[in-house]
Amino acid sequence: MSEISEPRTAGGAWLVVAASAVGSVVALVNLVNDGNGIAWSFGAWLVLVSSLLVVVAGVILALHLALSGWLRGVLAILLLLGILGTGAAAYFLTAWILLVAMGVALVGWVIHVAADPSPLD
Amino acid sequence: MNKLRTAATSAALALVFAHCAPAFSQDAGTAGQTPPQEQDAAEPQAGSTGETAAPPTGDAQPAPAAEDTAGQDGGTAQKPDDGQTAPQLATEPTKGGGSVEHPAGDGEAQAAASGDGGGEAPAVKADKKPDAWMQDQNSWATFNGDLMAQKYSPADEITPDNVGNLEKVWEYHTGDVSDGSGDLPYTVWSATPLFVNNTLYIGTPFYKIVALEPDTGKAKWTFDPKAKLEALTQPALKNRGVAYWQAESPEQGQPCQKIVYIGTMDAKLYGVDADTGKACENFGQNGMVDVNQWNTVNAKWPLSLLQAATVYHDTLFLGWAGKDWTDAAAPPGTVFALDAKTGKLKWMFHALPNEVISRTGTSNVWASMSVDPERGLLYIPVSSPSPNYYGGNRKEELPLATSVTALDTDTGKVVWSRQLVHHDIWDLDTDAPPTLVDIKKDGKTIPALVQSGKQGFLYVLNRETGEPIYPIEERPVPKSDIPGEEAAPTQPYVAKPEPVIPDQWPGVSALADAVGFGECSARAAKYRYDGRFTPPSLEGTIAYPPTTGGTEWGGGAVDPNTGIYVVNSNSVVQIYTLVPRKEFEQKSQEGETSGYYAQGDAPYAFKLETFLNWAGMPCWKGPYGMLAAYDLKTGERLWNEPFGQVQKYGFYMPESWGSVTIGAPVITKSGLIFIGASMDSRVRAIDLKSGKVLWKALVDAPAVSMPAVYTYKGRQYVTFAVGGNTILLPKVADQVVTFALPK
Repeated sequence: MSEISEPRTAGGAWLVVAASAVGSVVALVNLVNDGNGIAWSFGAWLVLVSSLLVVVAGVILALHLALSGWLRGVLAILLLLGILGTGAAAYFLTAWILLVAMGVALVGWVIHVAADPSPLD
Repeated sequence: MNKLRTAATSAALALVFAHCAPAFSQDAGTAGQTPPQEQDAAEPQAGSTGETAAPPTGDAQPAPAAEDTAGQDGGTAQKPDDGQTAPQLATEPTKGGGSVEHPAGDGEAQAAASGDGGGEAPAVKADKKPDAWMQDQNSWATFNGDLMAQKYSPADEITPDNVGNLEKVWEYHTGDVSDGSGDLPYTVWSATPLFVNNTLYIGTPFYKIVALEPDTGKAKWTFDPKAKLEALTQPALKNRGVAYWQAESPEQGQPCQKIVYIGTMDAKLYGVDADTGKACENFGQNGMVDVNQWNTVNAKWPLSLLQAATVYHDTLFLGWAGKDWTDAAAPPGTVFALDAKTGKLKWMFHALPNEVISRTGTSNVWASMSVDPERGLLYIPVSSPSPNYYGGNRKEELPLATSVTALDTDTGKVVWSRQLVHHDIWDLDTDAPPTLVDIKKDGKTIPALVQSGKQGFLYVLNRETGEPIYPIEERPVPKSDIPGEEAAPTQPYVAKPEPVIPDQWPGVSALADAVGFGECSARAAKYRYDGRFTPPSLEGTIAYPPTTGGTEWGGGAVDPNTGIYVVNSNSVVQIYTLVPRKEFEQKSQEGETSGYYAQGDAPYAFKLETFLNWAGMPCWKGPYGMLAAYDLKTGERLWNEPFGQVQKYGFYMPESWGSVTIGAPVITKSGLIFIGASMDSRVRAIDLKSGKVLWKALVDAPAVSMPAVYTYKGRQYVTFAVGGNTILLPKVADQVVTFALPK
């Protein structure tokens, strides 16, 4: 295990933020757009909230907010669960754009973990 | 992902099955409220259900003639509204212990009833023919498309190759919808639009008639009878469409040469001019016939007219729906034949013998009927007698109960009848119109009918005689262990065509069992199950298929040219438990009878539950709904595919699980099947050859109806009424939506 260090870049986290922000907008549209088959459903609310939580978590990581190394690690793991969970929910809701957004967010997360900081150290 | 989907599917199905129990039958209703009415009649606009104990005879039942001729009495007459009173009626016996009443002194009817017209094996009759107006290939003139209930359209503009281009051309919202959250009961809308007289006619669950332009959806007129919007016999406000009649030679300038009819839950039948939407003054009293005037035996509730009438020549044939879960003695099954122009009674058929009606009732016809126009035969699907689940007080032979029966359209007399369930103690109503088709088999053309039913069998019969075309054998079935009950020793069994559901219940779902920590398997081991027709028991019986079917009221569709028959089905497991009267009364006092049915004063009440674990997941394996195609020439099943998707909390479950279905398919000449019916709020076009989905579109709610396919000004349209049914999904709608190819 290496020493805690400031990340060299936050590109991956920002990609997570961007993708999940798009996903949140899509989830909001899905929620209110009557006639799409899922409007106002529990599932539509769920993915809206989870998308927003992913945005928040991504922002925290991207802005290097004062978190200890283990908290950043925990947050990164929760972020992954949020991305995967939202993606799975999007799949069952047949919300394909949201699913793609979460796919992009997952790429961002991988970049964040592999190339940005060392969130788990 | 598959495991995730499986888990989510099970969870999603949970509430569906939790609520689907009573809604497939003629259910006990709950009181509703009468809402303020909105529109005046003909205001121009801009813009049982569902419902037998006899040692079987096995063979086609030219049933024994009844000896008694007395009219049915012993009940309390329910006075009809609006001063309509029943005229004196004369009664004559007919086969199977049934009887026919007709107005006394009506010489013509009397002569017809007692003459040679009824009860004889029919051949094609020279004076019988289809109504000319109904023969228009471009129309969709009846609930089932035509009198033979083929649900077939000769339209061929939309094909398997181009159906992917189908687009929505218009939609119309009736405004008649309720989710039950306000003063009104929720709505269940299963109407098939009619296209005839260059107009699309549709009935609403508020019992209005709306006339629409077929190509634009613009309203021509609306008729509002200001009906009581109360759940008098059903838990919901229900409607299954309108009926249409026109004179053989309509007189120009004269009103009511063409009439549209709609019935109400409180037994009123309205007749309205098809061109103007104004009530026909000569039809009944100012356009209304109160059918309750003939509800004179065990008249505990009104005879709800939810299913569109069947029209043949100048006669309307009417069945009714009621509540068969609450009482032992109930209104006995009747079918009415009314004059299409005046609403006068021509004859009234009774399915139950007079001797038993102080102890039973129903055996009514709540689904639609079919007619062989060239033989003058009316085919009626007769439901089970009350009470539904205990027959100890009705052990007599009731040959017409739970049967398919052919009546002479002129006299109402039974020509032949075949009982499909002996001593029905499972609520296995004959619940769909027989599909009439000529089958080319072994070098012969056989006039046939296909009768689907809740038990999942497809009975293929000679429609002239009732004799089976594919064998129906009497098989021994389990005995009842309930004191006082005597289950029939055998039941009719159809091996070919293969039943729409398996013979054995699907077994315990491993996932549901795991989630329930072994609850499902433990309960399954405790219940009684000895195969099909295991009688209800004190410890609980696994009922498969149960009252939900099998096949429901939509029935199947057939391509008359190829003999390919298509039908959708359900695979649901329910638990039937009889509860001794004292125990039930004790529970009643303690307020613990949710899911229980009193069954009148029978020795046993009844508890119905769908087999779910603590989390509400179905304890049995899927798939839960299928669509299948059969070749009637050989009896072979061509394909059998899971149909539709479960949707819960917005989440769609795997297609391999299928969906419980309510509605029916339509076949077109080009080799397509159009069907809604699934709980995922989608309508689909399916390849008749393969069963594969070629096109689907999202609509506002489950389309629990059958579509109408018609051609207007050279363009083919497919119209769905989208109303929803809360037993599938807590989503209701008032959408009429039409699809066509781009111009």
